[in-house]
Amino acid sequence: MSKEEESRRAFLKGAAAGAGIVATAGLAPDALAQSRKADAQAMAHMESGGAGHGAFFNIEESATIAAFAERLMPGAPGKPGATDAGVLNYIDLALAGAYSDQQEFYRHGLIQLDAYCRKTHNAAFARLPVAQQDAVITALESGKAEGFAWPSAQAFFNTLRTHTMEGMFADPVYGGNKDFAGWRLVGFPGAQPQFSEAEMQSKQAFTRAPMMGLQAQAKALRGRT
Amino acid sequence: MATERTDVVIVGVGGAGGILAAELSKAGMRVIGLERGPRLKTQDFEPHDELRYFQRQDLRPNWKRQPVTWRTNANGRAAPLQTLNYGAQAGGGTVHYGALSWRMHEDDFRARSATVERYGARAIPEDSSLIDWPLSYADLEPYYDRAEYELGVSGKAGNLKGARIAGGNVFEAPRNRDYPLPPLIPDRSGLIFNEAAQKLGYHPFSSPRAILSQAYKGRAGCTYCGFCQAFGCHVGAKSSILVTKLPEADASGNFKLLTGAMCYRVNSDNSGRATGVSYYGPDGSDNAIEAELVILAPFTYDNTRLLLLSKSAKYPDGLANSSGHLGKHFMTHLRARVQIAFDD
Repeated sequence: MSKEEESRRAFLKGAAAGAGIVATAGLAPDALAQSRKADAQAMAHMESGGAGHGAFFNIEESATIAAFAERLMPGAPGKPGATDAGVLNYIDLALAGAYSDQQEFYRHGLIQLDAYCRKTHNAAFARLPVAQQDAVITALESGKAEGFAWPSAQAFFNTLRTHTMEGMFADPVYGGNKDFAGWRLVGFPGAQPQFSEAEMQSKQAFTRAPMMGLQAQAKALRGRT
Repeated sequence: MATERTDVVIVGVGGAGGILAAELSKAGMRVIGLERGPRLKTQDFEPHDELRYFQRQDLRPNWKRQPVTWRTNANGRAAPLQTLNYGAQAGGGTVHYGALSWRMHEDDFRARSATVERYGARAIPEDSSLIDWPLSYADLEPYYDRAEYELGVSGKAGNLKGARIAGGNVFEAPRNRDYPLPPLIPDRSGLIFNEAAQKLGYHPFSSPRAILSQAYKGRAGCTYCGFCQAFGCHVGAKSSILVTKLPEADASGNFKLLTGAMCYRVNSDNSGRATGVSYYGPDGSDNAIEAELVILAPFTYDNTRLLLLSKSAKYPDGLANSSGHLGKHFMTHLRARVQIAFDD
């Protein structure tokens, strides 16, 4: 690849990421968005993840995690679930970074989960009907699933549950909560730097647009200084 | 290995160490503070992020890197505590705490006597080492007062020199004057709680907090963002040692803070006098400081650990342990909490 090609690629990546962020914050000037639309859409699909993996999980593992998370936070029309929020992407990135000390925990947990599913239901978790997936999850949660040594069934369930919640509700900068799916679900307007007395004492649920994640807030702070 | 000489070395520049750093450096002593964590800025705390600070506990010690184990009884299996409720940076736990700023009750200073008076001697188990404090509430009152005024605490007095004041904490020990700042504004849940408690004949009051309800000593008042406990304050309204006493120490010109510095030993001579400390720098270097005065001010776990690590030929059981009681009778940071869900 030539120098020019490299720099063009870098620019496109930056533009795609930038456009993605501005668009989610609802601040994109139309002209800017239009001029970069084609590239941005293509690159955003590839680069911003959301529902993907690639930093840690293999294909089979990612299917298990995605299916498991979706049963914990099932989506429905008008109600985003774990897949919509990109929980898999969150956990995948976390295990490659902040939670890299838990890689073996996940590998062992997934091997045990797979063995349990094949023994009790003759198929991998992701291929089971929803009712059987729920039965497996219940067995893990209650510690009744057999064949688990380390991590224990309950410990694996608890971690998956915690990480699914993090992927649903943590700031999108960490790779989940795509387009604020989790925050919209529970009506959380994002961290606010200030509330007035009237707002604090109001009986109405607080809302304030636009919803801003960490990157958009940091950008606004840069503009202020 | 670098060796530095100074008047005072303070290990741990948090709630206790930070105050000592300010007072001693202002008194003209050359002070070096050793802090294992970083020194953060108010700017570091904006925007707020629940994953980083609440869920991943970024302002607390990393329990995986420096685990503290715990067992509920002598036969139990010791396992790492997964939340360490103290600080890991300059300013210590005052950076991330919820800033509740209670004074102790008079009877708290005489826990053994007061328990015996009220419940009889048999109420205290025979093997309990519970004792009274060597000083009383009255001895400490002027210092509570000074801390509240120097740091900035918001609240309403409920007992001024013995006179009970409705709306304040009527159960508190007598204070000589009111708080320097009025109480913080309650939110909706506070209003509901206040109304319900009053109806039931209780005496609700706004808890005293080391958070500025209005501008004070050059610092801005609270913006009520709600990110107090587990978070640093993005406007510096929380009266942490980081924004109150450390700037005073800086201004003295006598204070030097070494961050990323892990003290691993207190050095002592044959007379039994502490002569300084050894520490690892952020680059892994092995360094020493010689000082006239050595102050240990980390959290109680690390304080005890340091003293035990500092054994010598003369003190084979560690420093300050001639009694053999070092590391026993712990009083650590207890958490009692109640959570209630309201319908409206």
